[in-house]
Parts: sequence; structure tokens; C-alpha cells
Amino acid sequence: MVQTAAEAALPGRQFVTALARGLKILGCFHSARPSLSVTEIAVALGLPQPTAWRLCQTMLSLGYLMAGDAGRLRPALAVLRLGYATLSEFPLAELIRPYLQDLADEVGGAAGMAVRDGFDMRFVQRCESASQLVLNLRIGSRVPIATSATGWALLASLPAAERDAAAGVSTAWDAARPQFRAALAAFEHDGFIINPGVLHPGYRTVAVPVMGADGRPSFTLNCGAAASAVSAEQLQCEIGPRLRALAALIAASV
Amino acid sequence: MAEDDRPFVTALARGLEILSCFSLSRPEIGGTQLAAMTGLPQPTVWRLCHTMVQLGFLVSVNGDKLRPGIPVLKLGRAALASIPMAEAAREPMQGLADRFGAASGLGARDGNRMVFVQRCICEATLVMNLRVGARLPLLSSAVGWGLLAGLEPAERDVLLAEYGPTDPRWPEVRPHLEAAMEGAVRDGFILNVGVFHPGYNAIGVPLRGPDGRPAFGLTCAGSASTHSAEFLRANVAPVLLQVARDLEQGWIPNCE
Repeated sequence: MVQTAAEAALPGRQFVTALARGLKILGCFHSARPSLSVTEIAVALGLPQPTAWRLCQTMLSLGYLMAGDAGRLRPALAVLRLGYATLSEFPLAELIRPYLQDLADEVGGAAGMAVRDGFDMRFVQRCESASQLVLNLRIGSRVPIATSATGWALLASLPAAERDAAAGVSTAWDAARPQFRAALAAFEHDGFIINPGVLHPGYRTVAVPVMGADGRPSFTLNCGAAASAVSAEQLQCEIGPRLRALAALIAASV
Repeated sequence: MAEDDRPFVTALARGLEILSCFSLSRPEIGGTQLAAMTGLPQPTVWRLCHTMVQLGFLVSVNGDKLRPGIPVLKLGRAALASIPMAEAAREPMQGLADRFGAASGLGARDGNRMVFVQRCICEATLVMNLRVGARLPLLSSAVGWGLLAGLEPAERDVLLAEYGPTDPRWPEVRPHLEAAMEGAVRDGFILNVGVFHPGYNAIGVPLRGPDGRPAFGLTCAGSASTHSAEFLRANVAPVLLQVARDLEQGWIPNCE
């Protein structure tokens, strides 16, 4: 099969194009667009019509697609076999664990998921790399909203008028506020927030909020490491965007 | 024949087969084991898995194992969204669950399994931990029996002959299923008393499409200690049958 430009950008000659295209076809369906014709699929994915037809035919014969009136296709229940039945039973913190572990390993630090608990953020998931030098936090540990990256991610996602109340009145917040404001300006552009060491000197962390369907932050994700292990540039250019993409994936899928 | 002329795309079929190896009882599987489960050569499995990792449909865990990635949830939800009955049934099912301190399930058949497309439970009640997407055996679950009860006997026998040999519990379950089907002719519902799970009782009915064929099984279930067969028969059955009739009359076709 000839690759489209988007596919050619994916690395590796080991990449199986036909499989990727089939999965993308399944991904075309959603609640606002529960059925599609082969032509619509071909157009949506930029595939030649005969290619789209063969892939759809394959999934029809395997029972992953069903044909309705006028040849419109929709996903069949068998699609739930493709991992949904497995993951839909997972608690969210477990669902996200492999992603956080991967980030922690990448920076040689730690990554976590935290929820608001008073003036603190409480970790409900925490993954560490094999590196020795990480902040001593575990599931259940708390960090202040006012001074931590994970707390700042929460503040950044709240309406401006609510931020001071959420951080709580403290000298720590008074001291941290200017640095938070600088980080917030970057957040509005980047979608992630970096704490350069306010919580702990020499420890850099980036964090993102994950928004619920109500438009309020549900929880935050963070990833950090000792300044000796991770550069500010790596957080800004690699880890921050990955966290932001993970947050978007969770918000869209869970 | 040139590759592009093949009507069946093997690489796609194999990749989907790999993805369907994962289950709640086996959420994480290594490459070698995937090759053994699918009977595919290891390098083929590796390339297919590599592709799915690139696309996010598989993620690495614990170093050497794989498990499905978050995007599969979106695929599943799209499949559920194409069944409007799942949403239409939610309110009456929650009503059933709340009224009887029970769990209510709506399931459709996928081969020898019933897949819950809706599930409503009463808070703080002892019920089976099953959710939307859960896959129950057609031949031993109440939701399966509810669907089977709506079939013509000849049609049902075809399914039993096909799937009986695939279910290790079939010899033990068979007499119970046959008795339940006889009861359904008389009552219009089936009772599954401790067959799906010891100490767990359920009542089930078929939900028919406009063509008169059963499209779903609809159930109401609870612990044997609170939901005796007599209770299900006398108290739950009339309400469950009414809910099924109402849903059948307000039938919303699948999206086309």
C-alpha cells in the first residue's frame, strides 16, 4: 500500500500501514457521527476509496463493523473486545499508571496524579523511575497547592477569582505568588505549567490539569525530577507537551 | 494477485486479533505469549504490536508486557453510542434498580457472549460487580437466557448446538437452561437462580425489535438473601415486563 503523508511521518519500516488504517477507520466513529459510508471514511482519512473499501470489508467480515441501510457502516459490539472490556473496569489511577511510569522513566524522576484536598493536592497515583533522587512522596502524600507544580496546575485551570481562596492564606503563598504569576503566563500559551523549584530547591516539575465534563479541573498530572537529571528545556519541549497530550487523551476518552 | 486487490486485509485482521487477546482476567500480556495465543510468528506479532504502540492502542507496562491503551475506550464508546436503546433504557432500568434494591442489565449478543450495553445499580447494594462492556456467557447468564427465551425453539437450538461445546459449564447448566425456557413459555420471563453465580438470583426478559426478533436481554438481579425466586416472580416480574413493553413500543432504531 502507498503511504499517505501523515503515515510516512511515522517512524520505522516495521510500521504496519494496513493495521494503522483499519484502527483509524474505527476511530472515525463517535457519538455525534455513529454511522459512516465508505466514501465518507475515505474522504475523512484521505484514503483511496478501494483501499477504504477493502479495510471496511475486512472488518465487516470479522464482525467489527455492521452494515445498515444504504450501506452505511457502524461499529459493532465486537469492538468492545478490542480492549474496552478490559480498560473500562480499571480505576482511573490504574488506567493512567503506565503513562506516568513512562514519563517518570523518561526524566529519571517521578510522575503522579493528584486531586484537591483542602489547601493541598493529594497523590492518588505516583510512579518513580529507578533513579535514587526523587522527592519522597507516595500515594496518599500531600503537597501544598500554593507551592507545588501540581497545585499550580489546579490554580491555573480555575477562574482567576477563585485562585487565592484555593491556595489558602499563607506566607508561603504570598512568597510564591509572583513566581506562580510568571508560570501562569506561560501556561496560558503552553497548556502546562512549570514550577522551577519553589516546592523544593533543585527540583523541577511540570504539571497539567485534566478537565472534567463540567469544565472544572478533575485532577492534575505532574512529572518532575532533580535539576541535575532533567533540563528546563526538556521539561518545556518534551515532557510538558507529552503531559498536555495525555491530559487531552484522558479528557476525550475517559 | 497484487496486494491492493485482496478483498481481505490479513494484517488488519491479525492486529485486531492481537488486541482482542486482552481481557479483564488477562489485562497485560507479553509478546511471546501473544504469539502463542494467536499462533502468529513472533516477528509478525512484534511488528503489529509496534504499530499499535506507535498509535497508542497498546502501551508498555512493567517493562516487557503490553496492555490496551486509553484510545480503545473511545472506540468502545462509539460502538455503544450507535445503540440508542442503551441510552433510552437507562432511566427505566435505574428505576427498576432503585425500586427493588437491585441491579439491572441490558445486554446484546456477541457470539457466545452477552455484552452489557447498559447497567444500572442501586447504591449500597450487594450486586455483582459488572459494568457496561462486561461480557457474560450466553448460556449461563440471566441476560443470555432472557435473549434466548425470545427466540423460536428451532433458532435457539442452533445457537445451543453451536455454543454449548464451547462452554465448559454447559453439561451442568443445560438442564437449568431448559427448565428456564419452559418457564418462559408460560411466564414470559426466565429466572436464573444461582446458576450464573451461587447466591445470586436474576430475572430476565427478551427485548424485541420491531421485526419481533429479540435484540437484547433485560435483567433485574440481586443477592439470594434479599431477592428470592418468589420475590422476583411476584414483585419484580410485572414491573420488568412492563418496562420491556414500554421500551419495545418506543423502539428507537440503531443509527444508520
